[in-house]
Amino acid sequence: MARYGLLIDMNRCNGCYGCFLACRDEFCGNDYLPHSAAQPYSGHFWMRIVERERGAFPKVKMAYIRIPCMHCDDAACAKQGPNSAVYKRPDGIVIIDPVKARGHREIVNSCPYRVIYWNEEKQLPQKCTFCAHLLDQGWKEPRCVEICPTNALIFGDLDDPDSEIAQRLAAGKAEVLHPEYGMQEKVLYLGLPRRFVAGSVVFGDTDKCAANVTVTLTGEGEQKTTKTNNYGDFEFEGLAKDKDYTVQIEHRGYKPKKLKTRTKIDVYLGDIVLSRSSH
Amino acid sequence: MVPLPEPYEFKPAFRWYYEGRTCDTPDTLNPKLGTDKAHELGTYSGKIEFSSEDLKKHTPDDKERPPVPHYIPSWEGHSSPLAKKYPLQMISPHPRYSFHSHFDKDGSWVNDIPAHRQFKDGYYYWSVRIHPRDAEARGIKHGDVVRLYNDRASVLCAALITERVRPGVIHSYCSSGKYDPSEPGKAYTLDRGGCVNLLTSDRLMSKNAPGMAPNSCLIEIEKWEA
Repeated sequence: MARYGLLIDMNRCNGCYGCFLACRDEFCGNDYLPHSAAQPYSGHFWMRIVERERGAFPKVKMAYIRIPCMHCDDAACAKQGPNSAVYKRPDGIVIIDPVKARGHREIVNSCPYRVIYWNEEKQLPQKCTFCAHLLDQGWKEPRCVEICPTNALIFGDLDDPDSEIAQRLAAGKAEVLHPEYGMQEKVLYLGLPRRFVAGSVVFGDTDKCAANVTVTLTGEGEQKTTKTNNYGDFEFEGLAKDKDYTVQIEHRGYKPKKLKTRTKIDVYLGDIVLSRSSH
Repeated sequence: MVPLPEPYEFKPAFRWYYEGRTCDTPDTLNPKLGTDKAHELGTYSGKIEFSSEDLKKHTPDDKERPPVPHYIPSWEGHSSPLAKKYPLQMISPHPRYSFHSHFDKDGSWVNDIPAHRQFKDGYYYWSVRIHPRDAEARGIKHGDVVRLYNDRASVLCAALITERVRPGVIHSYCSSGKYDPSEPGKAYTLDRGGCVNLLTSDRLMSKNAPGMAPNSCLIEIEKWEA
């Protein structure tokens, strides 16, 4: 038996919302009993997207964090519902029974990820089913995965070593959104945003972009070195949150410059002007 | 996704010219298509012209579309006198989440995409992007209903405070599929639907270039409290 999981590659997502719209298209107004009752026309976000803006003008990066049901092996909602109203199928998909769960609003609040939505009209808690009704018909993937134009969503059998998802996970770089919940989530992420430190270097005497300048970042017990590009820009990505870092800029014929910063938020240091050394 | 036909031959624009072949794109307006000059570009010289021979011959005196393209201060931009009254420059490119006004019918699912519309006080307002500095100066917070206005019109939108626009620039998509005037049938009344191109000029780019020029537009914004 397969054990289904979803890998979300943040580096490939451009925030087109295709997954969100495909989900609404599949579920709004369509009952798929016994897996799910119809999603209301608006108000539910079974494929929720949180937009996180990083940095400051002109150095801004976007992170589109997609938060569907995590289909946890140790799901909090499954413990909450009465009479197996929430259960895990043999293939690992967590289902809220659309009949047994009627009226049990407490199931909505059981999920720390907040991915269960209350259907006021039907008095029913509802969420993503990994399109279980389609998988049972022989589909290989849910609608959101099928629609993704950049292949940022990878769906498959976690236990099959030949599946794409298992091979991508073997690199060991994927992580869960909130490991502190400890619920053995089966939705995993690549490239979740951390912190960056960036800046733009200018030659003070010529007022030109300082290309090919050596920039060194020190902090958290490690040292990284990079060179500025043609526009004098540099960037250190994937740094720890809320830590102290020092940026050192050196170029022949110019006075070295040292800047201290803390990664409370993503840091854009702005224009850094180098002045000529005296000899 | 729409599948490609099999087999599919990719024909990127101007690849034929780069490789010295005859034109293989369905460029029906190319006058040299099907002639012995089909390997040339459609310009007088047959090459890429930094100074257009065509414009030199036909409209050499057009100051707004000169034969050699270069920067010309806008007739409605940050350096024009109107900027004292309306200091913000609005750009209104094509929308990202609908095809022009297509698929943007009332109650559409794209309404729940915050970059498209935001739900505020029982109404889906069109989103307008404002830099935090400009917003703070006007007491505008994320999600506030704001009024965009100049001498041409007034439009209500929902503020989306973002670092993705530079200070002094307002960004909002054109092509809202909903026009919702406060006094139907009367022009120049307040529009709640988010048709921001009511604010832009209807003049053309130049007297010889019949393109619309919606990005030369100065406006002011204020927090709207109805």
